[in-house]
Amino acid sequence: MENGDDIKAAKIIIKMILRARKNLRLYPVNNPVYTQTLEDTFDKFNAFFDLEDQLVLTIKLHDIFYGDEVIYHNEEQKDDNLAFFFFKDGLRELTFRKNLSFDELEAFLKVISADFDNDVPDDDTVTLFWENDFQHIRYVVEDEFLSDEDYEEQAVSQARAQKNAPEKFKVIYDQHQNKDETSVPVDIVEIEEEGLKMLAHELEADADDKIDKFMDIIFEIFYKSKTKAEFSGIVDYFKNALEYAIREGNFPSALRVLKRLQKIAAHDKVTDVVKENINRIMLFAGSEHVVYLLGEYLDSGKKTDPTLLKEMAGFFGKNSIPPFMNLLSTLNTIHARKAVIDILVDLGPQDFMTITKGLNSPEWYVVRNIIYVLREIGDKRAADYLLKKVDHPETRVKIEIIRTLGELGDERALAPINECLEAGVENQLRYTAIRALGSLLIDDARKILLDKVFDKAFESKDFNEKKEYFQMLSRWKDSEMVDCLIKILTKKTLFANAKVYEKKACAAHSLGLIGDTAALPFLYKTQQSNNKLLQEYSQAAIKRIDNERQRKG
Amino acid sequence: MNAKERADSPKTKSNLINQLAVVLRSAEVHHVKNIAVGKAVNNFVSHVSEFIDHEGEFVLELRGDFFFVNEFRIRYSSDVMVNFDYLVRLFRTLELGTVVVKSGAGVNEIISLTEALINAPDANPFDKIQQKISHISSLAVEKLKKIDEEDLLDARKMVKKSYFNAVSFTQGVMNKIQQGEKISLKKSKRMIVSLVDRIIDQEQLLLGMTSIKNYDEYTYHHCVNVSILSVALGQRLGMNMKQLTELGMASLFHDIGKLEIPSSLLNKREKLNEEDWQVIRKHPVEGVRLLLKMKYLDSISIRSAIVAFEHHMFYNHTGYPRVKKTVPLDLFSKIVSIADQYDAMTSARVYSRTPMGPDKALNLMIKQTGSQLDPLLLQFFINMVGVYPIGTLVVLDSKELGLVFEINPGFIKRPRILIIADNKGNEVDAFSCDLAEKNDDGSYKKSIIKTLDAGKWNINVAEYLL
Repeated sequence: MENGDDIKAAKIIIKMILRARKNLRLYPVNNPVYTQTLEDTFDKFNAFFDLEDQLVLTIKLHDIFYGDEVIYHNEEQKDDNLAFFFFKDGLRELTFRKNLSFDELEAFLKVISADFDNDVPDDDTVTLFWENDFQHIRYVVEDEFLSDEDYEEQAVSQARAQKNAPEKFKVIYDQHQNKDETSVPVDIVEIEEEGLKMLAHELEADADDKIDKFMDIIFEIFYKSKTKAEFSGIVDYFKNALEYAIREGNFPSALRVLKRLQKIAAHDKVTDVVKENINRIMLFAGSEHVVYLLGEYLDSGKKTDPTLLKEMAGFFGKNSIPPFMNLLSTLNTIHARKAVIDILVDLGPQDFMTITKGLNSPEWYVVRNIIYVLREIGDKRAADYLLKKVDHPETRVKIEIIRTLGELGDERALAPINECLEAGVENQLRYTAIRALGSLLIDDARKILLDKVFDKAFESKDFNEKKEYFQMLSRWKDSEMVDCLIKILTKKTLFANAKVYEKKACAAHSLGLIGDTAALPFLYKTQQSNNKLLQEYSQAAIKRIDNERQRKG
Repeated sequence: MNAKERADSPKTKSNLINQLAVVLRSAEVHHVKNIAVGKAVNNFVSHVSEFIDHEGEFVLELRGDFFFVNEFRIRYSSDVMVNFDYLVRLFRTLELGTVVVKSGAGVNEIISLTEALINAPDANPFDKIQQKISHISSLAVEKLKKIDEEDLLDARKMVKKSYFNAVSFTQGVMNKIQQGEKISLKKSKRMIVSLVDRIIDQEQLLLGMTSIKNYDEYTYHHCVNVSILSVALGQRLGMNMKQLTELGMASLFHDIGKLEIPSSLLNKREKLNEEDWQVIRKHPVEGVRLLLKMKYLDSISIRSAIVAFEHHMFYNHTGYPRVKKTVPLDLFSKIVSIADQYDAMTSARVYSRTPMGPDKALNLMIKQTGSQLDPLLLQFFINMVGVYPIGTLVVLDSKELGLVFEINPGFIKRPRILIIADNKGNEVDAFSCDLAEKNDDGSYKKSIIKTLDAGKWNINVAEYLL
């Protein structure tokens, strides 16, 4: 092209490749910058292909040429230098051909953006290009570092050293030519359809992870081991295999191994050496390293089976509790945090005290997660620790504490809960405190609720809050409670305003929840009320009581 | 995938070749007006038209042992292998190199092409085909090009270089492992990639290199030979590049456990006793141990460990090591097991100085099919190394003595050979001869009448093949 448009287009492509290398390393696949970069680079390639059918780049140590033109120059000897990066792996020419697909370009850019030190330490650009089997990207490679000219020369002359003596042929001739015999060669058989199907099936199965098979082999070597040194070696193999399975997210395999090891250890005839070594493997499974790998996998967003995950973590033992707790402060995704919390709920009873230490975490969200774990475990001892944290500065933590204290049913919680009912307290915390009193279900809790209900200030509360109070009161399903509620429902007032009717409606609602038929005559009356809210709530309560009665027969 | 991407995909190209083969095969059995042929033609026309819409034309060319569609080399996969082999054979028989289908070619044109190909005479078939379709503007054919001798020579040089590089590299790696030094797996993988790449391009030449046996450095040659034979078989089975690399690595290290066996035992000239065998039989387990010490666990080390452990277990699990829990052997292990047996049998070793002839080895392996070796894989292997594997010493009907040096994929029983002695038993300067060549009357110029054991006669095949 005479006007140099192709050179300009080639230079732009180099710039785009450099930008893509940077952005693909910085951003995750689903990030818009990542996808935009790919699309922009693809566009630039297509712009070039509008001018030429192929882009041939010659790679030198410091330069990249397009034809005779240097389109990239950098003298630094590090991987940021694109020319050096290609050159050091032996690439000498790169050709991109027209019809280069988006997928192929993405695969190419992924290779050159890979972290060769950590992610693919046994690969270089050439092996990864090769494995991708590109259709529209060709490359010329110099493999000089693999060459050994001296060896070839020496080996060839050695192999040819033994000369075939001419008389040998005469002997062969004499012995064979005159005999009337023909050879029976091995027959070539056309592979039948059935055979091809079997092969296709086998190839398909071959794509599966081989870790199970590998584990089987380690078990076989384990069975053959006799000496302490041999057992010790095997322990390392198991550790590596478990580590690999967890890193790859192959939890079923990891679980199978742990189960199998546990079964062996439980066998009567197993020696102490074997038991001791199995124990070492189990301890490793629950180590900080393995738990960290598990966390990394969970945080990657890949799908996991929660039941299987919990079952596997069950084998990790109590020494895995601290690393799991540490994960709570580092995980980024809700999915991963939820999985770890569920694991801690399962493991927690094995070492309750360690779990409570999580309450001292400087991160409020970790404290909140730990409180949730304690609540799910349901050990009443948790109240001792929670009461000490009730003044936590973070409201979200406080909410969790109040709720948990309520559910744990510890009377000592009454005072802090009561404090949270005050008017200035944040709504969500106040509501949690009301519910916590309902959860406590003790007389003192009822008294607090009723005191509030009969307090003058109650009338001015928001309807939903009033309703919450009465909803909690309905948990006490005794006649004393029913009488009290009927009293509120039927209380006569001289100047009945909307606020008064709100309270009565709440009482009707509460009576409906209790389900006592003794309340029905009063509810029939109040359903005739002129106030719509009271009418509506009375009708709903009647319906609820009737339904309940019918259900019970 | 849009229509353009679909047309451009290797799968589409491979399918078109397959469909063309189906057309021709059904036309060999039925009349071209038969419904089965019609259906196949319609199918081909519909797909080739879509392809031509995007690519301009469909150019199918046979170069060496491979088909190219519009300049792209098409790889064989097991599902199309039978039809590909058929088409290679047909093209060679008809001296046909290229078929071009252009825009406008419909059912009638493809039927004409089919008739021209199927009914071509034995004598000068290409000329007749060209004559028959000359009036159809949407079709064209070109004669099969002979492989340039110079290109072939260059290819041979490259293959030889790759082979010896691999042996030398393997020797270096094994020595390092034995001395407890760290090895660069990056370099090993690169070596394997280079070797596999060469196998894909020059399968037969590289297979030929495996017939050069080196008694003194048997171990390293054996590792490389098993790797070449395994990868070549993997390629025949349709494995992708990643699988082939893994297979190449796993097979290269299959015997690594032998590094832990005392060399005095490995080099023992006397017959091994039961005690010796017990030690030798430990090498699969030792192999796993060594491999796992070498590097962190990844898919390659896992596959390598599996192969090292299983390659002597046999198809029916009667080999070693014996295991408590029997599970089916890994595909790689079964492949390596075949390659290992074949190379071991055809090599001179300490305890068996006279190597077996390749054909004899294959016959023996056939007897072990279903017991020691996987029957289906062995069949693929035999089809790969040929009826007369490279290095086989043969007697021709011309009474000359020859050495097989290249398999002819289209004519498996008619390899290319080197004549090494004339019809009176006098040694001659070796010259090549293609047994697929015919006389004017359609009969073959020369044929094999029997094979001889080069090992038994102490013929150094390296003198001719290197």
